Amino acid sequence: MVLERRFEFPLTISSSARSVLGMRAVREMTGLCSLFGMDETGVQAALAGVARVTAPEENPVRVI
Amino acid sequence: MAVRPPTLREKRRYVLARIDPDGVQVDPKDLYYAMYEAVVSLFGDLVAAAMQPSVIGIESGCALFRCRRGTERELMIALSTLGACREIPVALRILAVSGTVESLRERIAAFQEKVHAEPAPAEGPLPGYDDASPLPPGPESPAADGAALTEPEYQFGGAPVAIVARRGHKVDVIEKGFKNTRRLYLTTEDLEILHATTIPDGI
Repeated sequence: MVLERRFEFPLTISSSARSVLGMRAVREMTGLCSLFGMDETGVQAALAGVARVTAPEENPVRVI
Repeated sequence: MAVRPPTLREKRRYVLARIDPDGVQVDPKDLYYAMYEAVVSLFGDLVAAAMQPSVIGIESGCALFRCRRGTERELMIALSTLGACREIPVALRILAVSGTVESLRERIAAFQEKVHAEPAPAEGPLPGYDDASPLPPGPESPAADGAALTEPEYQFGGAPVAIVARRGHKVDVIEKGFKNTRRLYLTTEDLEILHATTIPDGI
């Protein structure tokens, strides 16, 4: 989490659900992720961050 | 031993959770062991001892948990990690937290009213399903003679099944017959596919 806050790399979280019983609500994910220091805003951004990981808006390498 | 007045009693919090999937039979004792195992594995023995979690009971498909005041958040987090109870896959969906059991029982009643307010299986067609009867009433059809429309026959794996419950996009069916009866869980999309493949003049 320290590295993520410092370098702001895209982060995503998943429940690895293979059925409806494995799925978790946002509130439950927030509670679980709060155990390792992620706040609600970070959880919502991480849950919505799959698109940022798979299709980043900008190139990972910046040309100077 | 005299009962303490309410102001001197230890403060508790009660957590109401819905048990998924619907209709699964869970023993409160097994649920207590599963819950305590989840609490201990996530927070350790020390927190579990301070939390004093317990299962009040299971009513109408909902489980009532109790813990000390101030530890309800940890209990809810631990409950969200629970995935099986005596090797039966279950999931607990937190519905409410309260300071009294009575208010949670009111929530259960409100939840049951909300569930029963949804249309019954025989009342209306499925979403995306154009009519109540898959077969158009022909001249030889009993429906053409004014008889009541019957629930269409569905098959799953070659065996006839009947709809038990329908809630949202989930349809519970049970295999017809008195031997080797097993409960199946289908979504509306599955049922539409089955309906299209089992009805002769389907899609």
